[in-house]
Amino acid sequence: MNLQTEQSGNTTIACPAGRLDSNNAKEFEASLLGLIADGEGNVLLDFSKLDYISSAGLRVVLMAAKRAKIAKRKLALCMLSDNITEVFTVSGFTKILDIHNNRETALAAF
Amino acid sequence: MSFRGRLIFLVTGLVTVAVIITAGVLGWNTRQAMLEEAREEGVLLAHVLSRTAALARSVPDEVETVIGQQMIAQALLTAHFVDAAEQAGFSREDIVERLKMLVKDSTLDEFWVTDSNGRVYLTNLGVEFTFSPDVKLQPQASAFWPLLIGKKKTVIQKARKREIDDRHFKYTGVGGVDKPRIVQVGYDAQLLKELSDKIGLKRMVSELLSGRDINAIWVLDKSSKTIAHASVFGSDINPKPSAGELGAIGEILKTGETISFLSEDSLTIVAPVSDEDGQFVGGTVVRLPTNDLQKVLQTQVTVALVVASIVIAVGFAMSNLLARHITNPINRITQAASDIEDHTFAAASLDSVALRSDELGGLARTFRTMAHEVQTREEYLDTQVAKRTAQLEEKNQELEIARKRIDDELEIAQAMQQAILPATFPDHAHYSGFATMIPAREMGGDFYDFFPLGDDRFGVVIADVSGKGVPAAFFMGVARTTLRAVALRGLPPGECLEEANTKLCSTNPMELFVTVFYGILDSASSEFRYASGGHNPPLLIKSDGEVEFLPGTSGLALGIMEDMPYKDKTLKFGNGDTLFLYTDGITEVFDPEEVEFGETRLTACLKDTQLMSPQAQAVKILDTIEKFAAGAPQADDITCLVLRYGETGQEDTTHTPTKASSQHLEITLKNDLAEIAGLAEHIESFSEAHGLDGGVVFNFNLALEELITNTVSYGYDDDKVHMIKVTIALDGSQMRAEIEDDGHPFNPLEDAPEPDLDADIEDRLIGGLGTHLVKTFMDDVTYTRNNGHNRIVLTKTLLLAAPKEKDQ
Repeated sequence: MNLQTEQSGNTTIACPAGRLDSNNAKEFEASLLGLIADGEGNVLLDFSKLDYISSAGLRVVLMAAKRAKIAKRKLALCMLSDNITEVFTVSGFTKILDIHNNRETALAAF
Repeated sequence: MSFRGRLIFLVTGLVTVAVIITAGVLGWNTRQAMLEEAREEGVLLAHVLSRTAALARSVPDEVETVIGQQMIAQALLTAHFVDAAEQAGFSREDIVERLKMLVKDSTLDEFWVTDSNGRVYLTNLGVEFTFSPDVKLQPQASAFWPLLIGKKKTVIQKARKREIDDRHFKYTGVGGVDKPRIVQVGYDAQLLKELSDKIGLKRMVSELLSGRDINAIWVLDKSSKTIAHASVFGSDINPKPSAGELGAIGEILKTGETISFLSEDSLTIVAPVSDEDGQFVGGTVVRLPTNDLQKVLQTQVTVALVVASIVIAVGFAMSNLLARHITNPINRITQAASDIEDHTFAAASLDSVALRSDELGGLARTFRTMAHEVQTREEYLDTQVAKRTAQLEEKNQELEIARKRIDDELEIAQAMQQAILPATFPDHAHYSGFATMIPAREMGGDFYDFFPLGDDRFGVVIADVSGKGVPAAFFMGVARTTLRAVALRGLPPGECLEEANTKLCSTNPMELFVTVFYGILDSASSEFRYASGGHNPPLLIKSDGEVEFLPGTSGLALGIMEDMPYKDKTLKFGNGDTLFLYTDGITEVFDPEEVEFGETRLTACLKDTQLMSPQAQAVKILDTIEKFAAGAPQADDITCLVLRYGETGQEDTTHTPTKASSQHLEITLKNDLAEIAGLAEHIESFSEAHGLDGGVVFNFNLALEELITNTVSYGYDDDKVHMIKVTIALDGSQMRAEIEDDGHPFNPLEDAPEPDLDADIEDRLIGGLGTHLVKTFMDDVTYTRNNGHNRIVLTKTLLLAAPKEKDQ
């Protein structure tokens, strides 16, 4: 999958697009964990272009959150679609992750 | 029993035995000495008694003899006085008076003077008496009758009891001076008796008894008649001499030796009694009490016991000390040995023992030296072992790395072998097909190939290289490339094989060969032209379901001999006919009883499968042989290629919706995660066609992905291709999805763990989340297992606001 990133001040914004399923989760995992391991500052996952996520994708998000915590980097998510929000809610992820409606509030909250 | 215990036991036992023996010997000796003393005393006593007996017999006799002679003199004087007085004319009374005065002033007590007839007329007693010669009438007095008749001048009678008053009297008499008469004088012999008593045996015996510790004394004469006897106790305790004692007297009278013997409560000594001439005249029996002896013995035993107790106690204490002295160092050395084993040994712990000058000290010193050597050696060995272990580990790691590299490379090679084979049949209006190769564990040499030759013509190849492993794999690559290169020039199959054979023969250093079946379908004419290089003939499944072998074309396997001819044959395909190309990996599958799957089973299995898709046919055969093998390991590559001639409607060969009616979608997936994206597309177009809500589609996609991912990831433990069937159906307001697979039995509703949704980030586990999502997003999930297949049915009711129903 294609993981586009952009820098906004101290924050690296990653924008996964399309589907995040068991077939491409490994690829996404490598990209995202690499990004967390190598860089500095905050990480924001912008899900505005993400259409679909399954537990394989959730696993990568959880791992990213754990790695960020170990690396003392803040990680937040924003722009989750309704369907994806529902998946996060059902999984209990909304309780443990920092989730925002849009980039601005997310960036302001860091 | 410990050494110490044994030592104590030994010493104490020895001491006890020694004390007991000593006490016994001492006691015995004392007893013997006392017995000897008593015996000597008894012998002395017997001698004294024998002397006394002799004396007591002789002295009174001698005195009496002297008295008797004196009395004769007095009797003579009396006779002369009577004669003189009568001649002088003294009166009878005057004479008696004079004689009475005489008696009064002398020792005489009586005088009796008779006339010639024996009638007493002069006496101091005033008694009438007449002597008679009759012994019976006068036993005492008759002895004097001979004086009257002149037969005897004097008569001296022994002192005796007289008949008239039982008094002890001695009488002597003489005849008359002037005329026959008896002049008798009497002497009261009580004095003599008292003398006899005073110096006699009986007194002696009594005195001996009273002065000494003697139970009884018996003095007996030769005929065992008791001469004297005295005893302390009554006759019950000291009975008369027993038969044994009397026998002993008989014995000593012969031998003259003293005999002593010990009876129950006394020591009896029997000694002879001899007279002055040394003749044995009797014996004495002296019984000495033995209670003194017993007392002494008892005292001895008591003392011995006390001494023994003290000695034993001291011996016990000493032996205990000694044992400790010996065993303590042994214990120390034992402890040291155990310390060595535990690696806690300190040489100083044996110092006190090593200072000893005895054998144990020597042992301790040797042990200390040895322990030091052992410790040093052990340390050296430990470091050596550690060094070697490290080296070994390093080598192991290197080996592991090397092994992994080889494994990886083999895996890559195997993947490459798979990858160079074309995956998907081209979409064509007149033919379709499916091909698969399942490699055995070891690298093999099966391959298939297909390629379009222009618009209408389509080539299919199936081949099997002899041998296994890397050489076979290489040769497979070479064979495939060579064959493809020749085939793409469009040559007919026979010529193609001929040329390929010649090329392979020139580049075959390992003497390998390959069997090849090559055919070209001309879809325009429906003709199928083929040639075979030693390969087993394919099966033809006709559109009516019958199965037959393709006629063979006798050709030799490629790579054996150059310039071999390969003949072509041509088959005319009917619409819907299917060709099943395979390698012997399929027919030569064995079940655990070593029974071959064979062509008959293969033919039967393909019969009436004409309506199945080529993929389904292939899967059916793969499933059947897998079941047939029943777990037996796959020995050879399994390869098949299915070619169907007929109208296809340009089906997608990867996902094969066999039925896509308006309310129903059926999709068959391979066990590959890459299939999931395609599935999602199918579902989305199905949903679009039916105007379904995006949320429902999302939920179904998610649920199906989670379950299929489980199956693909964990459902199989082989590398084979498995099919997963997915069916989607709309039924009024309800949408239903079914997943069917032939993986391991797995019920995700029960077997998956429940996730902890409230845990922190650090503690959150991802396991079970998929199943949780499925259960949450679906209204109903059921699992069943049937005929070796897992079947999961998902249902969800469609509402106008369906996607939001769970979003609270």
